[in-house]
Amino acid sequence: MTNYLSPFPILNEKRIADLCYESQEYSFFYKKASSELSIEKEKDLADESCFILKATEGDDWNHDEYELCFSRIIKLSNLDSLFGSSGIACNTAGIGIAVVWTSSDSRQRGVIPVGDFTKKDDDKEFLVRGIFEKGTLRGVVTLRTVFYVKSVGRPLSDETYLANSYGCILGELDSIRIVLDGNGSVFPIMTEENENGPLWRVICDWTNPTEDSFGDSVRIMLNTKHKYYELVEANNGDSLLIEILASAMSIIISKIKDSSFWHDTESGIGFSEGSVCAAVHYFVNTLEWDTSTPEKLSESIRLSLEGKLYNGI
Amino acid sequence: MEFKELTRQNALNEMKIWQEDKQTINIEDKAYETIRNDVLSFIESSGINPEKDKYDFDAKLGYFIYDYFNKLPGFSVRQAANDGFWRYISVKVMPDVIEKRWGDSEDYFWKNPTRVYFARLWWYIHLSWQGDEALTKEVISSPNCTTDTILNLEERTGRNGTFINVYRTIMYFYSRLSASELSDLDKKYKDLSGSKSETFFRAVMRLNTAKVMIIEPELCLGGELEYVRSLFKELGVNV
Repeated sequence: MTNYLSPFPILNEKRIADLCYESQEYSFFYKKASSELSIEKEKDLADESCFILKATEGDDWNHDEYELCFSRIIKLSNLDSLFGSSGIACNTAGIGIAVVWTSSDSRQRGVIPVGDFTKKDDDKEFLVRGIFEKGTLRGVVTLRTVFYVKSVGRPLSDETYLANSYGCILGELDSIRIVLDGNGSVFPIMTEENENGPLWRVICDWTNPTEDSFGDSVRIMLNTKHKYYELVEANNGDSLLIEILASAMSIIISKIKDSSFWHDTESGIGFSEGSVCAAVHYFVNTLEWDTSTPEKLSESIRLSLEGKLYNGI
Repeated sequence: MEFKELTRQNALNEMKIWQEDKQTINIEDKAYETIRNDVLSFIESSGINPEKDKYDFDAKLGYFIYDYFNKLPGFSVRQAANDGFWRYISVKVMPDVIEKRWGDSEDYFWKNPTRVYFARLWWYIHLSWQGDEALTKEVISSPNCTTDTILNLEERTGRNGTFINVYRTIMYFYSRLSASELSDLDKKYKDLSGSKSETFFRAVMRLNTAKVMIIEPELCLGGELEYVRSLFKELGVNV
């Protein structure tokens, strides 16, 4: 959500707190015969809001052959506080709740309406439920619960700055990511043959790092003709690989830090899922790498990587 | 049917192997050999020259690819979003077709997922789909549609996935503009922007990209249809 672009008041931490927001975790399931069968969700070690979906043991769920359903209940109080000049919608407007789902891996996005409320409502419970038909999605999907203008109102004189167009997004309650394929992001490493070249080099092939995919724009090239390549392939080659990864990541982060995209990257706004900036944001924010100086960055990356398996990054 | 994939690394390697001997295309799987033969037969029977009539080639081959792959057992949108699958089709199965259309440019073989040729064709038709063959062919065969249309539709897939119905509706209205109206609009937006490459279609796509930061098209009154009407209206066109 590009909240920073919003020219009108939207949901923020204080307003969400005033709503005494209570939600269950999402549950994921599918239908077989006439029963609803559960799909297991495993929380990503590095990211609390990311869940890897897989079939429960002994079960055969896969998204090629079966649908993916989700549900949860949202409870909200003091809904009337969102209306009027100190709120996010006119007194006479209607606010809707919907789940906006986005997936650059699936090249698709959509929206699932959930319910709505007006100033007359105070406390209300909403059942969030959605179905993705089999064979629709792949990779990572983000589910954002948003508020929007469901029906426009007649603005009073002190409400003219409030959003009042059908379909206008009024902010986000929360969001999660679900992973259908793979285990999240794995750093792209490829090989090449270069008789006179160094052991490794990093390619940074992006034009616009806020949009270009990390996996497509960045890669480490290992030189299989180099005399030390056998050390990488050896049984204890992981420590050398981590060194190479750490150096490559330092380079990438420094390039973004020196660019005009750094502010957005740091703040977590204005970039696409899976983009170069999204990856750097994740490294810096979620993995808490210290970018204050080059030497601190180098140290914090190594500490972080040495504590993780390569595949868990 | 088993859907094969190539990682970017493997695609790079396979491309090198093919470039060393372009006459040899080694397809280990009968199912993929059949795909190759069927596509090549279609291209031959269509008689369109990919070097001379670029858009015509893209549109006709595109429709064939869309229809053909959709009929493959187990094929789905999920499969169509699999970059690895299209890399396999492009580099292992039909690199010679791509070479005739795009030369040696790696982007169209494996490097750039929105440009990998067969993916680009399938998605062009998917984003232009109007519910059935006749209506879709009417849209894509409109003289308003050019290779620039394909480029703007595909390379502006939008952050975080595409609003498929919005794009289909844009294609519907855009294809129906009269030649003279479109010519005036193209000139108007070229002059306004000061850029030679500016067109009305680009202006529509850019306006959409800006608006969806704040508005969710499906949640508008009248849904995606009225949303797209409002885009055109804002650019001075009543549809």
